[in-house]
Order: sequence, then C-alpha cells, then structure tokens
Amino acid sequence: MNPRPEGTIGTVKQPRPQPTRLRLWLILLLGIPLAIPALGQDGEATHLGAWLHTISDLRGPVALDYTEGGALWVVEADGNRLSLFGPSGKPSRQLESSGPWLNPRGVAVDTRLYVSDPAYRRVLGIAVEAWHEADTVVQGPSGLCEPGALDAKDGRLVIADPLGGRVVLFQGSKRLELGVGLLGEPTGVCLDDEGGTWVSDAARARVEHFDPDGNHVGGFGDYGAFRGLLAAPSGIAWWNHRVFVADRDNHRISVHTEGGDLLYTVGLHALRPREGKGLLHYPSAIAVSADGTRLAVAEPLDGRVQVFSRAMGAEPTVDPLRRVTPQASAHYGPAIRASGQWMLLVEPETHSVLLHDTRRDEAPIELTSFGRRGSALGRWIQPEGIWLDLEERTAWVSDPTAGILDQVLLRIDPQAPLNQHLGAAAWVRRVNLRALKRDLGGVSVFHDPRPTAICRREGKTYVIDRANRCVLVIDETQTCVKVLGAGVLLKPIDLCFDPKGILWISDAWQGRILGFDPNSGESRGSRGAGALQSPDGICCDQEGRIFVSDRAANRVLRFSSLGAVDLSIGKEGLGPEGLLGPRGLSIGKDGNISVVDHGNHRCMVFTTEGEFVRAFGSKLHVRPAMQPKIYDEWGNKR
Amino acid sequence: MKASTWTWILCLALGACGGEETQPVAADPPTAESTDPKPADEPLPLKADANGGGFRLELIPSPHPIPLNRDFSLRFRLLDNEGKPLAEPLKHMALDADMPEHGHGMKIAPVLEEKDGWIHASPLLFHMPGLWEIYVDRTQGHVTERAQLSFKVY
Repeated sequence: MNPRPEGTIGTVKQPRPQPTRLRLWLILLLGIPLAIPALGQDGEATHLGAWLHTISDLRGPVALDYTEGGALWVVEADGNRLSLFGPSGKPSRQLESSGPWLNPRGVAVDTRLYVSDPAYRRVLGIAVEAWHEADTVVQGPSGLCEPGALDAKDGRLVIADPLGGRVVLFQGSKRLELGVGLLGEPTGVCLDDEGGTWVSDAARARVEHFDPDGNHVGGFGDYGAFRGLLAAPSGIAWWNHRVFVADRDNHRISVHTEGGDLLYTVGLHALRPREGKGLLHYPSAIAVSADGTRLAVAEPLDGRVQVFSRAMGAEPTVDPLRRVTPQASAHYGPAIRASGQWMLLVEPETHSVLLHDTRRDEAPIELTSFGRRGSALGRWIQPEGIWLDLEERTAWVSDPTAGILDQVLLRIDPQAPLNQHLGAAAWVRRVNLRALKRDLGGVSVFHDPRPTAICRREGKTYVIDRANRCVLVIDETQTCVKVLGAGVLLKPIDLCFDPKGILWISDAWQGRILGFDPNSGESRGSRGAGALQSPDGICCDQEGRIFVSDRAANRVLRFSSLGAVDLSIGKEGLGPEGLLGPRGLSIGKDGNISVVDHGNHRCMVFTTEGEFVRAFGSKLHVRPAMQPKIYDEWGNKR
Repeated sequence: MKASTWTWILCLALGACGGEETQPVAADPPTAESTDPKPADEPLPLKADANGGGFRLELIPSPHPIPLNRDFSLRFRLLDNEGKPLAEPLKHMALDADMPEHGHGMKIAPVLEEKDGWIHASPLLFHMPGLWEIYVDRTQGHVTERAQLSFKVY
C-alpha cells in the first residue's frame, strides 16, 4: 500500500524545507515559540483539507451547520435528535426527540434554529432556549413534499425538497419555487453572500446556481468517477466564492470555483471497513464554519462527522498524476427478492440489478446483470424496488427518481447449467407513473409518484409511492386501480404478503409495520411499536412469521404469527452476527433468510432461527463473517 | 519462404478481409423470425413480436447484411396482431441499438422520418463486431412497449 501523507488527505501538500539540525535543537530547547515561525515559512494556511478530528458514535448524522461561534449542530436522524458540539468536537447539548418534530432531517442556524420535519412536510423555526416549542412553521407555497436540507442566512431561508424536485426560497414576504422542471432530486442547498442559491442535484449529478430572484443562472457537473465529475452530489456549502460539494458516491468533497472549475478534492474513499481520519464513506452533508477554518463532513452509514481544518501551504491544484478514486466493491441494496432458486439484488453504484442462482450450497452465482445509468428504456437513474417471478422469468424494477416501473424478461433457462448470461434481459414495457397526471386509482394526489418497493400477487402489482405515502395497486393493463394506506403511512419502505393475504408495510417514521386488507384497504393491525426503531425490509415465511430489518438498530426482528417479537438476529459489526444498516430481506427456496447488509457491502444469510449460514459480497467484508477465527469483529486479522 | 506458405498467407489475408462483411441476422428468442437474404430490390422484412406481445415489428436494414463500422440505414413499421399497419405518430416511437453483452450502444443517434407508410432511420453505425440488438419502443399513454431484433455483426 502506498504511504498516505497524514493531514493532507486528497490535497497536494507543498514541500516543507528540512529544518537544520541546529534549528531542531533550538525547537527542542525553546519549544513552540520558535516552531511556529518555522511552520510559517510554508506560507499561509489557505485551503480546507487537513483532517482534524472525528466526532464518532452518532446515530445517523444526516445534516449539520455551524454557529457563528464555531459550534456545530448535527442532526442525528436515527436518534431523532439534534446535538451541539463545541469547536473541539466536545458534546455540549442535545435536543431530544421529545421536541416538536417527529423526524428531523435538515438544520440551519440563523437568528433561530431551523429544523426540517419531513414527516409533517414542514420546517420549524425554533428559539434554542425554548426549543420544545416551534415559534415558526414554514410550508411551501404549494406544500412541501418532503423537506430535507436547509440553509439560512441574513433572514433568508432555503429548503430543498428532493421528492418534490424543487427548492423553496423564503426571503421576507417573498416565497419562490426554484428549479421546477429542472431539478431531479435536490439533496443539498446553500446560500451565498450575494443572495444566490446553490443546489446539489443527486439525480442529475449537477450543481445549479440561482440568482436572488430565483432565476437559474448556470451550473456545473456531470455524472462520473473522474475528478471534476460527480456521483450523487448530496451536501453543498459556499464560502468565499468557493463551492464545496459532498460528492457522495465518489466518497470525496469536491471544491469548485463558482464557475465550476475544480480546485481540489478532500478525502479519499475508505476501502477498509470503518476507515476514517480523512478517508470518507458516503459523505452526505457538509458545512463550512463562518470564518472558513473548519469543514465538517457527515457520514450517516459510519455514524460520524469528520472535521477538517486548513492545510498548510498554497491552495493546491489538481494533481494530474494522482490516481482516480479507487473503486471499491459496490454496496448491495436496498432491495432483494427471491423466487425459486433465483435471487435478485440491486447494486446502487452501478445503477443495475443482479440476478443470482442459489442452486449451489455455497455463495450464489451471478447469472447476469442488467440496466445502467440513463433515462431511456433499459436504463435507470437509480433502481430501487424489485420483484422477481421465476415461473414467468420476469423481473420488475422501479426507479423513484424517474417515476417509472419496468418489466424485464429474463431469457435464461433455469434448468440450464450454471453459466453467465450476458445480455439476457429484454425489456418488455415501461410504466411511467408520472404520466398518470396525478390521478391514481380515482384518487387525486398532490405529488408526482415516486415508486419504490414492489410486490406482486394475483396479477396485480403493489408498489409503494414514497412521495404520496401510499401503495399503488396496478392491474394487468398497467392502470392504477386503487390506492392503499393514504393518510395512514408516513414513510413506507417495504411490503410483503403473509399467507393469509394481508399486506404488511414497514413504516420507518412510525417505527412499526402496518397490515392492510388489499381489497378493502382496511387496517389489519400493526406490529413492532416500541421494538422497531427504523423498520426497513420486510418478508414473511410460510408459517406467517414476519421478519423486519431494523436499519438503525442493526438487527432483524422476527414477529410470531400472533405478533410478538420472538427472535432478534444480528448486532452491529462484521462478524457472523454482524450487520450495519440492514435493508432488504428475502426468504429463498432453501428456507433461509437473506439480509442485505447494506453498510457492510455484503449479503448475510441466516436460518429463520437466526443461525448464520453464509455471507457473500465484498471479500473484505465477507471474510470476518466466514473466517471468524482469523478475523476479528472489525475485520482485523487476529 | 516456400510458395505454398505465401499461398496460405494470401488465403488468410483474403479471409480476414472477407470478415469485414456482416453475417446475416441471427435472432435470439423472443425476437425475430429472420428471413433469408433476398435481392436488394425485393428485401423481405425481418419480423418480431413486441416483447409484451402488444404489436408486431417489420424492419428492413439497408444494406443487408448490416456492415461493420460503416453507416447504414433501416426502415420499419409497426403492425397490430392481425398484421394491419398501425398509424402511429412518429413522436410515440423511438429506435436505438445496443451491444447487450458489452453494456453500451451506438455512438450516433439516428434521425427518424416517416415516408410511404414506413419509418426511415438513419444513420446507424455498428462500430464493433459482436451481438447487436435493435430496439423499437412504442409509447401509448403512460406505457412504453419494446420490440427488438438481434444481429451478429462480424
């Protein structure tokens, strides 16, 4: 492994003159008073990029902002709380979930603290000293779909609404909607000193710039891994005519001029599990302190915030010889579905879906992969929900960003000897749910549909619409004939049928699963309140036992057919019981349950009694589970 | 070097040059009923049902066989399941081609024009040897359906 210079991760460090032996002695003798002038010879510390410290053990940090005094507010989404840290990273205050919000997602500090509360489609203005009560409730001119990132400056407040595909700017009595029809999924937003708004658009891999009147005046970025390109840009910050972008899927922070030229990058992709100290893993939000001396980066999967300070030396330029971010093994998830011996998995980084065969007792064999990034038939911006039917040799895939549902024919003989089948997928049709003009099953909805998890039964397709928080029922003519759960669900994630025909839906913000009669739409009870923190994937076995992955608690819970929790599988880690942010679940032909261990780049297979069977995926992450005598719980060799 | 050796080299060279021409269509299920090559003035269309069975596709490439790394054009029309031509607006149709085993498509985008009951697409370019698929997508309301034909190009 190449040595990596400490303190200048992702930047080009200016060579420092070697101190003479005499000066070394002097430094030793006289200490700091002489050492500081020696460092000063390197020039002024002008650019952000030297790792300073890490704030660890956070519960899903998804947003942050600096106060004028240099303290840092962090939103811990999985803990339903806001935490305040001093300039040294020392915790100083926590606003717990008993506050006025249900699930905080974004934060901005101005004269008051603004917190986005997507569960109630609103933003709250809170005086910190009386935080238990919001003094301001902000909603968009035509309603916010799911407010996320925020920024506030000099009386202006800007709100990113990723599921609504727009940004809302509040300026005095003015309320403007920015980027309608332009933005795909605005995940980050910030204000500059001149009244402009900057928006990072994860779906389009772009940064867009709007003037104070809300007019689009330009932007930069395109999709890719090379420096200067972006992959799912998430957080964004502006300081001193520099635009800082959390380039999430490239695992780095890109620093650009306002014209879009790349100046330098901060951070390298963490390749080994839990690597830090300047190595990044899905940086999702960033903030720059008011004086420009601190850059804070939130990494929800690793539960940490890394803080960078100014590095010594002149502002670096891009080193053309430096290797591009190494491509580590991709993650799996969120979805997994099994049918007979086949198993389907989403691979988010490659924007594709993988078909496996589980005929062998060992790890499954990948038969084919299909789809790539794009908007034409055969491509997706981000595939998310999947369904598999071995008998029909058909797969269904949803893309919430594009609002579509694809049906794909898998031209593979299930009985044929195991082999790779490149190009075996043939697209049958694409259902564009946005073209339904918001008329879904006779129910008029307010937001463009965002289809996610899919389940099929008796010729009907049940698909979760995240934007409208319901389940769409689509018949064989591809017409939406019914809407289930509207007004009841808050954040539906996954769905499955039990043997009695009840449709079960996991709801992350309600912390439980809810049952519905698929015909009448009536409630059939709920499970898991108090036991589940952030329910995600869900599946049911033939005995009617329901398995639910709890993403925030790093475990899978089993509910008996009577509704009681009777088994917990997994704990945080990499060993045979280890999980990190588990997502989709599926029960295969052998009766074992496969868990998408999303944060650990692997899939874990357990018996329905919770015994570890095998792991497959990234070798680095599979080894600690498969060879626990050689590797410890954190992947280090014993 | 012996004369026989030179003959072999000449034969191999000629064989390699001959490989620049494409092979006739080879279709993978569920795509085409490929037809035998006919004289250029009476080309028989290649036929395929849509993958979902909603319509039929007739397609005639020109030249046929499709050349490797040289521009070509094609014309196609859509038929209902009884074989009657569909009067489909051009804006509801799209044509593209891909190398499914390589995960990429063409480097150019063809222009579609309607003429004499057929839709003419030009230019197309299969710049690599191997398996290519031509896709014709038809959009009706909120649903897009696809028909496709496979070609092996050498």
